[in-house]
Amino acid sequence: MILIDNDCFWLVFIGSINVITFPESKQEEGNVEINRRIFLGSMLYVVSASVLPSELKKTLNLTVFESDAVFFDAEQFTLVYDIVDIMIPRTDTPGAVDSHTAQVLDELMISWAATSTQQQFTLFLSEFLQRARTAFNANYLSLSKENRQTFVEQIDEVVFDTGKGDFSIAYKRFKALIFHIHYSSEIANPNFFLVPGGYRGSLSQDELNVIYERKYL
Amino acid sequence: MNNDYDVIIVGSGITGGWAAKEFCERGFNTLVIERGRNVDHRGPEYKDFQAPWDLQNRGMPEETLAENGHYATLRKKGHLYKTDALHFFVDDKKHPYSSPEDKPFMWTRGYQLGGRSLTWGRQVLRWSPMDFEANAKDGHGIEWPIGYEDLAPWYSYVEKFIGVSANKDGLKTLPDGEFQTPWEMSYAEQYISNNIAKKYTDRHLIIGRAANLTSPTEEQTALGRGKCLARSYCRRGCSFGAYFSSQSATLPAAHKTGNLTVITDSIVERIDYDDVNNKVSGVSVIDANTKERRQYKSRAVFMCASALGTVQVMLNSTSKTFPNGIANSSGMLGHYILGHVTGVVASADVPVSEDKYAFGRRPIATYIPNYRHEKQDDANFVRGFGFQTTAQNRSFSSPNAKEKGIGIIAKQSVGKPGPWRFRAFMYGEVLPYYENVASLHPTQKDEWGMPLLHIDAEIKDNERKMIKQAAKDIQEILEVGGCTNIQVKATPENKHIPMGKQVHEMGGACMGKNPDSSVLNGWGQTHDIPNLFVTDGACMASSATQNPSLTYMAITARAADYAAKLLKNNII
Repeated sequence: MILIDNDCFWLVFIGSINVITFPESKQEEGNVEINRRIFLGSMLYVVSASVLPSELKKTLNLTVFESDAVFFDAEQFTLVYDIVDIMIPRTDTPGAVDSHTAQVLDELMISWAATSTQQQFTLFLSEFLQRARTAFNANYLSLSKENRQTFVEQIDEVVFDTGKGDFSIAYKRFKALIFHIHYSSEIANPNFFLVPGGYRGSLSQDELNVIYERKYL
Repeated sequence: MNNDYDVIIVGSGITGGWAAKEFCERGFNTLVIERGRNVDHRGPEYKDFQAPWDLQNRGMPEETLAENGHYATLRKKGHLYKTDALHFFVDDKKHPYSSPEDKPFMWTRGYQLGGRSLTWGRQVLRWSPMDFEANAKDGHGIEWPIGYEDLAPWYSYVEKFIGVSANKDGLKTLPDGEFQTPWEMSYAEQYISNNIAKKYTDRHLIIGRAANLTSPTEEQTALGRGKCLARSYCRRGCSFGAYFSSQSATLPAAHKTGNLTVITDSIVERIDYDDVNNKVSGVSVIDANTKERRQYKSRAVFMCASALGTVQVMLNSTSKTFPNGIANSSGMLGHYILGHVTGVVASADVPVSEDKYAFGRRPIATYIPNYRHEKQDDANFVRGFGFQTTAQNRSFSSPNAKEKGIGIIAKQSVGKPGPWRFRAFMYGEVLPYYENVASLHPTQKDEWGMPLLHIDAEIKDNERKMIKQAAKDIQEILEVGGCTNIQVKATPENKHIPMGKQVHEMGGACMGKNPDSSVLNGWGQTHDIPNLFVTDGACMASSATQNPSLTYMAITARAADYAAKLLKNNII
């Protein structure tokens, strides 16, 4: 068990599946919860990741959340977590999972987003699942990692090439927010220094590296 | 509480702080009245120790603010609409003003102790003799009653106290002053500057002149101010006191004397006038929280409430003698609203040969001072423009969420060093136009019962011609500078350019020699009433192209010295 920075999240590794449990107390707060449930009612497909056969989970390389997050319910959050991981994967540098982008987005949906954005993102996730079902005749969360990745990449391509309408607008906003959250995170900015100590405008790469190492001018 | 003072200063911003310091240090019992809330220097409202990931909502103001129409002006400005310092700017839904629908005015304000001195740009530039002479020379506006020589010693006096990091450039158009160690130019900026110097004798790319300490003096250190550490988070408030503000410098200096009283949350409704003795007797204020009214009395009143704020209070101060606003026998109060205009934005790559980088966040830009004071063959306008510029850091490829691309390939393209990119923003002088006017709205009032200020101001043909020329000039300057991939964007003639967008609103109670055509004399003293002074931006008779705060401060210090002598000699 690993405690992540934000003590809301407990991460348990089960084979290739990560299960993250949110404190129950955060799930029942305020009117936002009511609004969310109203919109959930409009979803055409509500996928319960928790009912996926356990054997299947192991082959999907999918992180499944069994409890609701602050704004998103467990299924939505599983989906968000997966999409952001595909958008900004871990490579030789940290990815969106490392920067807790999905968790930050979930918090922002309460602290920053207006009702209209909450609705927009909720409907976007619903439509996303519907499109995946149409494309694969299967639940997105039951697809292989390869297929999920291909699907998100195709969505991105279509939206930016020819996309119009509510889904494309919502996707662009969703993507912009994901990028903002990740690239403004501490882990994505190892050479950011709150107090640089001064300014130099003409440094060689070697001189710059020495300053980075020292973390101060 | 004793409500009698020697001097009342309305406003605690950049000029109010200076007036307070000068009077307190001369032994006068001084009251500063601030309409906004108290802010503690180095207190919890300063967000300068928050990294980008620590900012509330990652820097994004709650969406409901925009949905409900809050911060309309600030949202249009974009870069200031962030959670790092939003609390230091006024929400115009709570504090409305009006302007004609076809001439929207952008009024950026800061209602807190220290006013806009907490969030200002800190570029401190002296005016040249030519700037003071311009009105008389080309006949626009009211002739300045003072010249550069009158102000020069006060520029020096102010610069020594506030701390100005700058280079002595030896330019006639931008006189040198009392400077600390300048910030260094980046490799790319120096490259352009060197190339420009080879070709031109009148155009120069120089490092900006910043009110950020690089070599603190004993006096500055004694006030708790330290060296700037290149964070460039100045508008959040600086816990090191490294940039000049009322909070970091003038108000602490005034406090040290024991002669200063500050009251906050107090909106000056009117300046009280004694018809019999032709003197102001003090001010009437409205408590911002309880809305109770009370009065303070004094021997002299200094208006330092920002150009438009001061005009609003003066217009609202009517009496039998002055039915159209106090000290307004000329009828000029509210007229000649001035400002700066940006109609050209340019950018270009700087193809330097060496692989160089920058480190740190320099708190000031580079600058191309106005080089068009003298009408030149290719100019069909008067006055001129300069450029605020920068290439302080090399560009690095950044993630572009607005374009196609996700996954490993998109991610791997992020963070790679790219070319140095130079950017330039035109800063042009808006001519003094009598018809650019601020008045009181005939019917609408704010929640404290004050009539709204109605600002009817626009740029005209001269400024449009300047924009065209500035676009040509910057193209040529960047070519001479050795740049490539030059992109110049000029605002089309049919697109409205709002006054106030560059924040530097001025005028409305202009200085002048003639009491029939101006509100103030050369000391910032109203022609009509000897113990009423205006030394904020309202006193300006023209705007030049330089950032104006240094000139406001010098005018204030000079006026306070003059008024102090009058007070000591019981002349006022």
